[in-house]
Amino acid sequence: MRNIVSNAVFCIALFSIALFSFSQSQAQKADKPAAPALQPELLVDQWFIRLNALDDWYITVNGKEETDPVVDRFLELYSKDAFHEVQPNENQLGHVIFHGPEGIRKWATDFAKKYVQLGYRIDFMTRAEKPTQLFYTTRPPWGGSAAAVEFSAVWTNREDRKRIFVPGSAFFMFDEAGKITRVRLYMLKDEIEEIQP
Amino acid sequence: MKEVAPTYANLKKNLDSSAFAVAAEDAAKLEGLFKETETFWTPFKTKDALDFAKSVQLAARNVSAAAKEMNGQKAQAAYNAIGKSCKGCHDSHRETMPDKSFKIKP
Repeated sequence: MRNIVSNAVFCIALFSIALFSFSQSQAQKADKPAAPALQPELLVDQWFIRLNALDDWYITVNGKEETDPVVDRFLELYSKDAFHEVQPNENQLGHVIFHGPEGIRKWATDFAKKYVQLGYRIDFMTRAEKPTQLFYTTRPPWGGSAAAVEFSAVWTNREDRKRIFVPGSAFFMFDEAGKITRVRLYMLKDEIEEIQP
Repeated sequence: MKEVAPTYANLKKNLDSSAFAVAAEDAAKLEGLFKETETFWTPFKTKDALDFAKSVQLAARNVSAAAKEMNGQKAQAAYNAIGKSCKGCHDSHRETMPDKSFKIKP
């Protein structure tokens, strides 16, 4: 009888230890945040940070425009096979697609040289006195993640020094490594306004 | 650009001491230096920088003309206009680095 009781106690103790270990490991898993690089909100946020940094460069005394470092940092966010799609401009009708590092480098370099004092900001929405930036995120069936945001863009034209405001939206697709595979930018040109000092 | 500050300081000193002939030379030198500044900014078509460079050239020309007329008051007024353009351009296109050197912003 004593053996049966001691065996039962031993089994219960063993089961308790196993259960405790299992619950601890589950708790650790739950506490451990997802890899930051794969959170679409943070990836989108980083894109805006590096976009706004595209004006953070200097001209040498010899007149060289040193845009490469900020453009390189912007390009780090994109996969090798990424698409960057923007609105029409004075050089092209219809939407413009830049593909791969060299294509996107051209866009980023032109952008860096054309605009200064960049202020692209993800819009805040407020309901019930609770302001927040809304990131519309999803998981596509092919893997990775996708996100969209509304934003307000403010910049100064480098040449004529006019300060411009325009609302817009951006749609992102990321691969499993958190690199951008596609960005589509929409700028509401009908709502463009010059900011008067 | 490094010659601008000492020339500008000399101009002030010479105007204050009514040394108009030398002041006129300083003003002419400043005009030349800001012609170079205008040339620097021309390929970038940066309107405010070009406008500031042109404004300084005009003000320097006015200082020079007033100094030649020995009109101290008029020369001082034109001199002050130079300073305003300097500040405007530096606010927009000059950034001080941690080592106190300067870099040119686009």
